[in-house]
Amino acid sequence: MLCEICHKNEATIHIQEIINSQKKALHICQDCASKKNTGNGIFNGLNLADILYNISSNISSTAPDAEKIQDKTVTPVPVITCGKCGWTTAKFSEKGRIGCANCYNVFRDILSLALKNMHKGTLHVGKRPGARRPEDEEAGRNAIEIMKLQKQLEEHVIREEYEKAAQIRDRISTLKSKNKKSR
Amino acid sequence: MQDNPVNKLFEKRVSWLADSGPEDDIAISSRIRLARNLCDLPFPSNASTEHLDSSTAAVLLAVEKLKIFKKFYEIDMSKLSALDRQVLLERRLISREFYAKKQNTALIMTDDEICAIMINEEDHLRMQAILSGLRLGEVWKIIDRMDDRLSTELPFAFDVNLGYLTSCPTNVGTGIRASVMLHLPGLVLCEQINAVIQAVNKLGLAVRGIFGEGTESLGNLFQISNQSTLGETEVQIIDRLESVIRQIINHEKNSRQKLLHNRREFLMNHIGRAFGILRHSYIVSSEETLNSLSALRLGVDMGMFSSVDIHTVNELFVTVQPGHLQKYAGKEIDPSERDIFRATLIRERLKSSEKK
Repeated sequence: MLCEICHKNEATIHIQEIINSQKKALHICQDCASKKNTGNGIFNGLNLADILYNISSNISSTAPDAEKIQDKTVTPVPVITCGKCGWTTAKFSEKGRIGCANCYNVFRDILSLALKNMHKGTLHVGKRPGARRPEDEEAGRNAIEIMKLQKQLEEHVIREEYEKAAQIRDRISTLKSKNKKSR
Repeated sequence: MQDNPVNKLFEKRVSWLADSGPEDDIAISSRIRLARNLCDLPFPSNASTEHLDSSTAAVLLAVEKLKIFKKFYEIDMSKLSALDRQVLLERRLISREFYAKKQNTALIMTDDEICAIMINEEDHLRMQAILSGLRLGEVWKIIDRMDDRLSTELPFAFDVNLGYLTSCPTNVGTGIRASVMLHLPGLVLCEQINAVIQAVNKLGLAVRGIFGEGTESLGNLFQISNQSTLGETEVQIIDRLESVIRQIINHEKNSRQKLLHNRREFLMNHIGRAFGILRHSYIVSSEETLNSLSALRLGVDMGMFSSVDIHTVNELFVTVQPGHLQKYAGKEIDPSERDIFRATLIRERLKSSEKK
C-alpha cells in the first residue's frame, strides 16, 4: 500500500481513529509522518486544528473572493471569510482559533460539527453576563429543559415512536421561541 | 507604574501553598479560570496594537472603577524582565503562553495572590482564583462574583445559544477551566497511577503532570481539570470534577495504607533517603529535589516527621524552581551553580522549620 500523502513510498504507519462512531484510517510512510509530527502535531492526541482541517477540507476553494456565507447552499461551498475581522477558513484550520465574536456566526456550520466532538452539549446552559434578572434564570431553566427534551426526542425517534417525538418537538420549539423573546 | 511588584510578592509566602485547606494532605490547591472577551474587538491573536491597547485600558478602568479588589497590582508585562515573568509563572499567576507573549499584555493580581486577571492572553480576559486545599465551591463563589461585577462595566461577547465566545472553540460556553492539583505518591509507588489517569480521561477530564508530562511527572504532582465547557452549567462541571477528585483522594489514601502494611520497610527507606538528600546534600538537581520533596511530603502526611512543617515542604516545590532560585540569589546563575544554591536553600529551610 502506498502512502496517502506523498503517494510514493510504502505506507508503514497506520493510524486508526474513531470519531462519532465512524472509523477513520490513515496510511502513511515514515517520512510524511515525521514531517506531520513536527508541523501540526497530528499525533499528539486530540488536535483541534486537525479536526477542523478535516472538516474544512471538505469545502472546496472554487470561489476564493466570496465575502459571506451564501444562504442557498450551492455546491461547491465557497471559502468563507469573516466580513468583520477578515478571518478565513484557512486561518481557522491552521491555528485552531477564530478571529472575533462574529466568526461564530460566519463559521457556524464548520463549528457546530467540531463543538459536538469537544463538549458535553451544544447549547450554553451556564451563567449570563450582567446582574441576574429573573427572566434570565427562566431562560437558563428552559435551556436545560430543551437539552433534556432533545435527548428524549432522539430516543423516541430511535424507537420509532413518532407521535411522542412530535409532541416533544413541539415543546422544544415553544421553549426555544420563549428564549428568543427574552433575549 | 509603581516599583517592581514582583519584589514585594517575593517577600511573602505563596498563599495557596502556605495556607491550610480541606483535604490539603493530598489536594494541594483548587483553581478556576474563566475566559471572557470584549464584544466588538477582535480576539487578541487577530488584533492590532490599538485593539490590544483598548482592551487593556477597558479592563484596567473597570477594575479601578468597580473597586473589586482591596489591594492589587497592575503589571505591564512588557516592562518585566524574563526572570520576573518566570517568578509569576512559577507562582501560577500567569500561563506559559502569557509568559512568552509579553507585548501588549497586562496582569492584574491581588496582594494575597488569590485573584488574577491576564489581559490579552488568548482571550481578552483570563481571570483566575486559587485557594489551598479542595475548595472548588469557594473558589467558584469568588470568581463568579468577580465576573458578575466586571460584566456590569465590560460588554462581554456572549451568544444566547453558545454562551461566552472565546478565541478557541474548546473554551466556548461557560469559558470555565476548573482544576485541582493533587499529590499522588501512593498511587505512583503502587503503580496504579496509569490506571487512574486512563479512567479519569475516559470521564472527559484532563490529567497532566505539573512538572513534566504524563506519568513521568516529577514530584508526583498532577493537575486534573474539566475539558468540556459547553452543555453543562458551571456548577455541574465543578461538581462532576469534585466527585472524581474525591474518589482519587480515596484511592490515594488506600494505596498509602497498603504500602504501610505490606511494604513498610520499602516505604520508610524511600522516605528516609529522600529526607537525607534534602537535609544533607550540597549539590542537588531540580529533578532529584522534586522527587525527594514528594517523598518527604508523603512522610510528613503519614506522621513520620513531627518536626517538619508541611507548608515549608509545600513552598519548597515552588522556591526550588529556577526563577525563584535566581531571584533569591539576586542575579542570573547558570544551572550547575543553581544546583549548589538550591541545596543550600533547602538545608536552611528545613533547618529553620525544625526549630519551630
